[in-house]
Amino acid sequence: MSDIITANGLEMRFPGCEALRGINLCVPSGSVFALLGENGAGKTTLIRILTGFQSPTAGQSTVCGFDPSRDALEIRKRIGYVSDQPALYDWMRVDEIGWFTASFYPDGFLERYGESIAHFEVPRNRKIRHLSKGQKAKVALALALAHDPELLILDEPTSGLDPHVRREFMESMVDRAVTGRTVLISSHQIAEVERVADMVAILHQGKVRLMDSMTNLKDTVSEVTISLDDPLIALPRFGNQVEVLSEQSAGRQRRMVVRGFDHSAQESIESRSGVIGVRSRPASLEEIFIACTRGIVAVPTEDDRFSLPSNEPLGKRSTVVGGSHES
Amino acid sequence: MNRRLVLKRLCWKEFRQLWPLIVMLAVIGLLFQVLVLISDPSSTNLLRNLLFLGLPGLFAAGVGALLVGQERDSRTLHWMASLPILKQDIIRVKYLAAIVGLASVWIVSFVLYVVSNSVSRIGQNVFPYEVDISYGILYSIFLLTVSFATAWAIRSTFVGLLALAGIALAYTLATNLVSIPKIADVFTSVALISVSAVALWIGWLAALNALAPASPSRFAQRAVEGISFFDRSIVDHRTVQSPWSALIWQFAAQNRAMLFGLALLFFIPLLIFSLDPTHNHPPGLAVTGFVFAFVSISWLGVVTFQGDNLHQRIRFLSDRGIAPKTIWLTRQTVPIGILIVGILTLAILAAYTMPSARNSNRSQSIGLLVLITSCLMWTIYSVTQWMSQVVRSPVIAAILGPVVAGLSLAYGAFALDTLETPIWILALATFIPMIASWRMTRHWMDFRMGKSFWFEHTGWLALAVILPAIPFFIVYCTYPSMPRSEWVTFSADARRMSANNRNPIEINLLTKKETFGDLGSASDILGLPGMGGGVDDAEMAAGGAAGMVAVGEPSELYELPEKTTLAEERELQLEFIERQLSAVDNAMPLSAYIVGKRLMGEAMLARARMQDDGTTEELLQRYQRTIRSILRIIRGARSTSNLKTQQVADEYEAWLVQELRLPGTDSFLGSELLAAAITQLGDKAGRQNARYRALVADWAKSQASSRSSPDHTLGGYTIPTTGSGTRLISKRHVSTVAWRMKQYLMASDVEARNQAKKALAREWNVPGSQFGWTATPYSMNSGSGAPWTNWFGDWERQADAYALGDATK
Repeated sequence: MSDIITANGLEMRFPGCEALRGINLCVPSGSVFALLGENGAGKTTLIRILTGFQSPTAGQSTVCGFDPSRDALEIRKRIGYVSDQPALYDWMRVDEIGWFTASFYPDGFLERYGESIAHFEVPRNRKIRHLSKGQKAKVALALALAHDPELLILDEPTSGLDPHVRREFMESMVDRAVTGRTVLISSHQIAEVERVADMVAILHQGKVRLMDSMTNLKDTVSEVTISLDDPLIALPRFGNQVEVLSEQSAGRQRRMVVRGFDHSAQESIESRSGVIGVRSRPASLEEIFIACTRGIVAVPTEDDRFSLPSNEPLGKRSTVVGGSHES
Repeated sequence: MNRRLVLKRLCWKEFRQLWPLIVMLAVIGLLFQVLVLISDPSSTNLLRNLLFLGLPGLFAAGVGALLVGQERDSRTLHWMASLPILKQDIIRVKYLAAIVGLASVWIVSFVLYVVSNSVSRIGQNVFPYEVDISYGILYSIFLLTVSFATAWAIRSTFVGLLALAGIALAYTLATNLVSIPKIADVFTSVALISVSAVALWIGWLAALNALAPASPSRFAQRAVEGISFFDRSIVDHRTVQSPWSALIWQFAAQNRAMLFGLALLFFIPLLIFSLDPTHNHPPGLAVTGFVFAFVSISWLGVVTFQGDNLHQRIRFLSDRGIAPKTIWLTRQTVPIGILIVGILTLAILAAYTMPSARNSNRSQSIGLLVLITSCLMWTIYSVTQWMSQVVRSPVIAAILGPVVAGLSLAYGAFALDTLETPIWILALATFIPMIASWRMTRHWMDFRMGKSFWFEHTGWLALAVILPAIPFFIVYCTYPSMPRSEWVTFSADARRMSANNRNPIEINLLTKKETFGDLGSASDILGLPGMGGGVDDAEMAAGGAAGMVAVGEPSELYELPEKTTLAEERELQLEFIERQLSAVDNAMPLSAYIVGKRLMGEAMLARARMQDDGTTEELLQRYQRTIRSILRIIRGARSTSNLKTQQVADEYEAWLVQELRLPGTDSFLGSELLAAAITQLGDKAGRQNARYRALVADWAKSQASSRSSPDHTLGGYTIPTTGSGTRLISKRHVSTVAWRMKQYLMASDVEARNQAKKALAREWNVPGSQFGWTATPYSMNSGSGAPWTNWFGDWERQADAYALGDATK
């Protein structure tokens, strides 16, 4: 499966702000790729660079085989893009804007647009300025989908949509991926993304903190709760293969989100003195997201590994992890 | 809730919003004044007055859009209405801020006006020209109230501004057409106050309505459904258009109200003027028509990109990868089309109504009118479309548009008139804004307003400003100048000789019916102070510069008695001239060459009659009296310090040399008069000294004159120039010429003199071989106009020979 989007060492510096700090990214064709991150993590900046609206300070990227800095127009013709605040001609009617936009795309646009509008139940002859926020979002989505783009980039596409439409829309993204189209979604609706995304990348402070397939994440990331008989006890280290994404202390309990926590690791912890019990369960995407964005302090690294230093007690790790502290 | 605190905070907010506009207008006003001062401070009264009244007018027209329209566009008005604040307080504070802002702009405008006048030394009065301030203030209040009324009542800011312009145009047309003699001022004031009051009332109601909760209405329902004759037919056909036609449709449909209104604003004044072939319209109507046509074209340029700027609409097209060149071309097509239609309409109307339609220059006049109008329209459009791409706020763009257009036209006029930029360079410069907006369309579409965007726009702006000035800079850097040492010498000599400078006194043969003012040509020729020459009245009053001379009034006027014969009249005139010459020894015929013609003619007539009919005592006396008068004139001229008077002396001496060479002159003159003539002609040193003294004195006058003297003059002689902007370096040019003249005058041998003459001819821009002698030696304007071309001619060699006692006939 080839990559429809690649990014290599993308950096973007604004005066007084480092928006992106060396983004490496590969989005395979025919996948639903979720880009997660808290506000200000750099998601919109990354999308603006990928769509050629912004030139990066450093690094390279390709979208559909084109360089966004040079061939932005080619990229924009091939993709469907819905920004977080879609710009629409508010003086046009719903059918007018479709008719108008059809002029820039191959045949079939108007028919598909009409179908989408009917499906979304947006009144055709109403002016855009008189539509509700959700209806405007539907029109923007319909316009972005109508030329059946090979890549759909959606920046917060479902904000304003009601739960029914949101769910329906998200599921339609899976259908698109099945037909070989690619969808890049930047969203805060983690629960919905979790349902449809094939791959997830979590951005934190301008860096990719985590990027993996959804299946892998579900299989390998766990929430581990360790009960101790003394709250001041220092936990021994995990093995090399375990990455601690976050750690919280609450009384005699240590709650961690870890990656690669298998049965042997659990037995190893349970066997330590002072450990009363260890419970583990697969972490939800929301927990992983929180772990990546709140539980750790991002430190620039070569390979973004999160393994723990073997010679340090676990209790200190939440303040230093995030680097490539290989044990 | 503390209402007082609320009002204070509201005031703070409103003033913060207004402050940039006030500062911007002040800076623009300052730029204008500087441009005016550099170009020609004495002849731009209209521009100054327009600027003085225009800045407050512009503020008043834009303040409603800024405080209401912009807030509505950014939806902060809606937010304000949601706060627990009295609606009336919001409205009151906006009006209050606008009034205070208007007063501030009036003060700024007044200060700029006064400072500009004092710097340019136009006069001692604060208002040297008639400016109706009370009318200006009333009109600005009228504009302010209407501006608020339209801004509150009309949802689109742009259309609101257009409505304001329409109302102002309608009001001005109405008051011009219904002007009542005798009570015109009162009528105008009452009308302005009444209309302002009505506008205030309407604005207040519209404001309350705008801040009230929305209520559905039939009109609103229609707007929601969006049924419009403009777009229904093509959409219903479901035919997908080409990108070009779709984009042009989008532009036209999006801006249809504006385009329609602007076309009306442009064509109505045009039609009114054209339909009145007698051109008997009231005086204010022409200015009104011009102002509204100007504003409409400015806004046409603003519409080019601002329609898509609103709510970042252009991002829609940008997201879809539409090529910037397609966007640029489709944005320009409709406005340029309207301009072309406007120009064609003007040409057609002019062909039918211009007064010159019946004469042979008809096509030329029409062609010139169309060409000038086209150039002006193109320049206005070009700069305003550029500005509309740079400025993101439609309101600011609408307010700035006419100002920027005016500034561009002023700079164009400055370049054309003062910098003397070739037309083709100016034409080239008008395309730079188009190139800039073409180049930066991609950035504009993508909202990439980073450094590259501003650097490139600044670069294009700098190019547009610098390009017309390049020829001048080249001239400025390469133009020759007088060496410093020579300048010191000239200055020292001017100071040393100033005590001995004498004024020439005019003699004439004017009758009592004529006046001294009829010698208008004298002042033109002389360029002497007090007669429209190089030194203004203020300098004269202050004592003038070193070596300054003045032309005295003629001591008396000639009165021809009734019933005189020709012979009696000739005798009376000769006596009259002799009497004036006796009164002062520096009297001379400066302008009325009839004096010279009369004297020389009398001498030639007397000689002819003596040669043909024999000598009689009467003829001999007449001949000798004329020669004596001519000698007096030569001596008087040589005693004064003016190049013009030296040319008078040269020409009289040349005539005398010619006369002395004729047979029988010795006997006709008599030994005493002959000796006097030979002595005068042979005084080479005196002649050279007089010329040098005149050269230095005239140079000193030229250096003491104001920088912006109207032309290059040295002692009243206009020195032809080549190259752009030489007017700004006229003093340097005059100094160089004076220095070359000195070199020519002081050359020690023939070779050096020939070299100096060539250099001087080059500086004076005349052929080196041109000789100033002409068939009418008494005419002051004969020959090349360069006095030095008479120097060292054959007549002077002959005169020198007299000094050596080697006069041969």
